[in-house]
Amino acid sequence: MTKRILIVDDEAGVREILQICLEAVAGWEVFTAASGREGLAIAEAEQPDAILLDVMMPGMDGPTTFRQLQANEAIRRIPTILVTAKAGFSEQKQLLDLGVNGVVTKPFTPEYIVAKICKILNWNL
Amino acid sequence: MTNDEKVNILLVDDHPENLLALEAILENLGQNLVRANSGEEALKCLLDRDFAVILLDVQMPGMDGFETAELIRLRRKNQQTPIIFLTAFHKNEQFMFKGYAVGAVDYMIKPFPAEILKSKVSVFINIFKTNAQLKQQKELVESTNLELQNEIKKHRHTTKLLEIKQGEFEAIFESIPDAVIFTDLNLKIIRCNPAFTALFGYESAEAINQDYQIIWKDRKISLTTVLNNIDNLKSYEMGYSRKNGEQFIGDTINTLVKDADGNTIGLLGIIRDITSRKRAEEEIAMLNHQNSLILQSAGEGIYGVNCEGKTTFINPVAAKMLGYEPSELIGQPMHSLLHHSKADGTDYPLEECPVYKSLKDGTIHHITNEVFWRKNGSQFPVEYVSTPIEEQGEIVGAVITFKDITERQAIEQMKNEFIAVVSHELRTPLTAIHAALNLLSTGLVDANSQKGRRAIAIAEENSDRLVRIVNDILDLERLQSGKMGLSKQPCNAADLMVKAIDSMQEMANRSQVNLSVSPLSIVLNADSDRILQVLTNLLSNAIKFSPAGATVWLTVELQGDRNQKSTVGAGFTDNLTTKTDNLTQPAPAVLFEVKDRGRGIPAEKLDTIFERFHQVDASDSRKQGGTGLGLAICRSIVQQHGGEIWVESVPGKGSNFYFTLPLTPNP
Repeated sequence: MTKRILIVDDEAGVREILQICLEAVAGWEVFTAASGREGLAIAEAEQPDAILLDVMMPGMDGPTTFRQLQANEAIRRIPTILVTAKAGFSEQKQLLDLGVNGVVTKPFTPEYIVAKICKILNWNL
Repeated sequence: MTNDEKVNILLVDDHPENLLALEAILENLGQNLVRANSGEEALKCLLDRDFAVILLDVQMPGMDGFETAELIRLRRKNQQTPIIFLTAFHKNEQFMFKGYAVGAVDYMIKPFPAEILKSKVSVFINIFKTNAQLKQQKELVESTNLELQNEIKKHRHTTKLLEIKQGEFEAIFESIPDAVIFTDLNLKIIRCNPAFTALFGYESAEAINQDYQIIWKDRKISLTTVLNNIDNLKSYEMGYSRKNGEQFIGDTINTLVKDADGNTIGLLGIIRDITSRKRAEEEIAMLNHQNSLILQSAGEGIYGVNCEGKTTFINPVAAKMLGYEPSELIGQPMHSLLHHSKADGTDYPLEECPVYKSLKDGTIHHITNEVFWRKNGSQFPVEYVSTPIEEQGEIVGAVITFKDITERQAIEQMKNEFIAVVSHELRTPLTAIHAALNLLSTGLVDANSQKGRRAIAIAEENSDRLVRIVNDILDLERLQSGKMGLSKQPCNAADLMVKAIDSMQEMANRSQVNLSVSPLSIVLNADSDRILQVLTNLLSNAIKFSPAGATVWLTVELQGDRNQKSTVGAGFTDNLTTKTDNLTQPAPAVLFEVKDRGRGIPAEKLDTIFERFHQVDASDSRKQGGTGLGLAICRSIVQQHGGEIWVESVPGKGSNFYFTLPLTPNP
């Protein structure tokens, strides 16, 4: 069954290229949201298999969005992976401590990010 | 005895009539005639006084004349007293011999002619008188002689004492380490000691007979100056010159030399070279001064503690940072005053305190992550160094230098945040480019497919954005570090405004925004390219945030008339916020204004909008292709021109951006 993934990122370019990557490499069905608020709504509506959530977003950032997601019974079990440009070990640890399933760093190659998502979520292509 | 003095003449006879007769004869000699009626009485008289001559009757009852004479001669005092015997016997040699044997000087046979007796007695009177005078003279000579001998003795003793004193004086004079000079009343040097030679460089022979002035060389010091300083052996400081011209300061005593009668006979000068002492004193004073200056003016807090950890000194900066008066801290245990707790409020045991360790084992500690506590109970982050003070191998205390690093931490945090933002701003387009190119290069998408063309477009857009961001960052960095010099030259405000509108017209058309410009011909001294950059930046922001069909106004006015400006902001009086508009008497300046009727800026953002990467909403700024650095660049350019930039805005109604450029060129 085709996996359904939600991408939440305020950066149009990143959002779109990530979508192309996931579609082209893995053939997953991709939804996109340009803000945390939009992401929460789409997640609730579409019930995706996983959420790729950008960390640094204006207004509601990734961690805040994740906490709200956790607070919502309807969507709190959806696996969530944070996408960050911060590559430092302590920063990643801080993010993992939030309780997310995993962290992937920018920039990325198409194959790397798909492989990383599969590894975190224990999926097979 | 003088000739007028009366002498005694003893008349001895048992017959009173004879005595009367003798008295009658001798009376007119004018001497003192003493009568005796017997030998015994005569001897009695001799006990009392001296007699010039004794007239002694030979035939007397009891003790006769001879016996009396013998007894008289027994007395040493009377051995020479002339005795004239008076007798009625005929001249008889045997008898006369007896008389001479017992000491007679003469015989007179009764009856005798009065004149002869008188003249004989006169002779003895004269002899007696002469003898008496001789005796007196002899006594005088003897006593004079004795006096002389005593004098000689005394003199010898004095001479000896003098020799001892002279020896003592010479020893002192020669060996005293101070220069000593004697001069005569004309201030000619008459003596000087080896210390003088050592100090001034003149040999004794060179100095003697020279004027006292040589010790000052060319500096004329009057006698009055010297005499005025003769003050009860008090010393005073004076400058002197050595033979080689070197100057030095001498501690000086001048005193007058007097003879035994108190007459001034010369001057004594004693000079001690105190140059090195003065220098040492000056050095100590200077060091003290420097030390206190350093302590007073050091930007860092500095305090010292003794081995018990109690304050021995503290500079004003340190006391101020801690909120105390320096006097409140002296003698106080510093750890319990300002270091009692850690940043989280938990106890800071003394044994863990680095200062305590310095005192204990002499180690130096550099601490950057602790806090000190103020008098008012607040804390501040500090960096401090604790260094032990050692004296002769023993730790006697420690010096602690510290600074409040609140500001540094804030800057550090700002820097970290900036780096995070920059890295995010750079990584974001890079991520898109990187992934897009990878999709194409690995053949995951076909370049000619719809997705492929989209990937190429995304890569292109994001590389444009990357170029803009990198340019802006570099621009801003060069502007803020002053590396980008302004090339100011006269230019017309109207030209700049028209050029700015021209270059933004296409963007405005795309956004269906009207541009309205009211140019005024004002000549400015400015870098026209940079001012154009500010204008287009402000216009571009205004266009971006204006809805379709709206208008963006660009106006200019000569500043100085504030009423005109308040008219501009009249619509916003309810919630008007000005950034740096606090001039009461503005210098002549040109005021540019860019006004839009966009969505406005929330009040809480007005303060930070000119900071780097502080867009009101980064996402839609980026949607518009902004870098987040435009307003920061505008502010740098305006400030470099000596102008100001600010914004007034009401959310939902629009924003007015203002900037001024001074008309008088900044020096």
